[in-house]
Amino acid sequence: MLASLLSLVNDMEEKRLEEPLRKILVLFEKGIIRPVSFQWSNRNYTVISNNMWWVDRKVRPIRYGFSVTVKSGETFQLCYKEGDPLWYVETVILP
Amino acid sequence: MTSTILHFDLDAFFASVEQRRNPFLHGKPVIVGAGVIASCSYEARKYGLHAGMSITNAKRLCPKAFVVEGNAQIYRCITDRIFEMCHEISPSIETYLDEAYCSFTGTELVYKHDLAKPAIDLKLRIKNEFGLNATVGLGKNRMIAKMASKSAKPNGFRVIENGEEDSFICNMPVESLPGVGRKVANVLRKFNINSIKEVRKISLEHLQLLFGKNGAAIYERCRGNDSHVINEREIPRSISRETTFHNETINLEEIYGMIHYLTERAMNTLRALKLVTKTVKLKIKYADFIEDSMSKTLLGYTDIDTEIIEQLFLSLKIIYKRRVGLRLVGITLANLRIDCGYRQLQLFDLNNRKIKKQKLYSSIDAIRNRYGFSSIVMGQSINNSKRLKHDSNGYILRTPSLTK
Repeated sequence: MLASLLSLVNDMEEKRLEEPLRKILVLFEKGIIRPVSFQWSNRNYTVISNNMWWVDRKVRPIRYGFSVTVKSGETFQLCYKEGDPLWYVETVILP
Repeated sequence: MTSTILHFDLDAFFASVEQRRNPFLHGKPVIVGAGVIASCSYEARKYGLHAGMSITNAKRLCPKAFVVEGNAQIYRCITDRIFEMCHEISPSIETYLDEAYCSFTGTELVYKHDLAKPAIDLKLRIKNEFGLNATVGLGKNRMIAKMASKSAKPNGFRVIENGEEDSFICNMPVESLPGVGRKVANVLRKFNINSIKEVRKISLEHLQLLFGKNGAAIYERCRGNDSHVINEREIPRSISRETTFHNETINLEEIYGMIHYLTERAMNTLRALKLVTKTVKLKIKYADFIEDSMSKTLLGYTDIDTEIIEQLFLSLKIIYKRRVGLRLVGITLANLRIDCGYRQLQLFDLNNRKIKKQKLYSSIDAIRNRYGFSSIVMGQSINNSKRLKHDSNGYILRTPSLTK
């Protein structure tokens, strides 16, 4: 399913999705936010590695970005906007 | 009070961020850029790849390299956070895209002369928070600090203690001196001058004869002296906007309209940065790729569109002589400085027209910031309205005009 979403014209082209997540489990610990698992397109994904996170304070609402790798090997970029209860999948990259 | 400057540089910044964001790229040659390389990982550099090289050539040298277009917004967020960290350790910092200078002057009591500690802490914090490597250099001035960090790349740390500067720079090649590019180095090499030690033997007069104003700067720098202070604000050297027409044109209405529009965009940026300009340059490229340009320095500094547009239109009349269509126009604002607030008033400007114009443009900027750039179309820019599509951010040009 993911393969159909992606068109890898360039070596590492990312597919922008901006789709809201139905469910997400996030750990707020010692000032660090870490997504643990989430549900997207009727599939559950377990995060095995939090690769990087960043905050865009120059936009309103403030956006938090997270790059996570899941058990099945895909890397997702998740996004959380301050004041918005929804989390989004921004991009997905196949292994 | 002794002066100490810290310089840090993020190693292969864009490429390293991409490797962190996507673990699949870790340890692989990565190129970031579209058309040309903006940054490449150290794995790619082993194949001779470097910033500025065309991606076609790069792929020829390293077919296994992974090309990613990059994400400027993420890079900006990361550097914003890193510069915040710099502010926590230093009272004054000067920032660039992926590097910064931090001044430790006046912090002797805080750090008790152990400046290596905050420098190493900064390096570790960058590593822990983002997983990125930074090279750090410490020295008595900007130049020494930058040369120290350059010599310690990648992921290094080097301190040049007071008094060690001479032995540090003496045996370095001439190119490592700031202000000595390929051209200057070639001239020096013709005289069989290869190291900084040998440059020192040349007198000030001779260096000035060879390189003009730059000669005096080289004379000081090869002795380890650098009088540049840390500026909190980065003042760009120039602000340029240029674009290619959808179709080559000889229609003066269209050409004037585009110059007007590009100037508006550049002046909007100029005022947002609270700068004023004194030199304007117009560049044109004919359909047969022959280029022409004209630069003009105004009598005084200005941030008013009409004064610049008037000059650019005059320049166009002078340089656009051939009966060949134009494929590109571009404008550059140079000789920039911070707007100090006061202006030279004109003796016969009894109605304060200049002040009124400034107020007018600041109101226009405020409206555009709130409702989008295309909420107001001015002067001859309206000539483009039938030819170009537009969105809230202005006309959609064939090539992005947002070059700096």
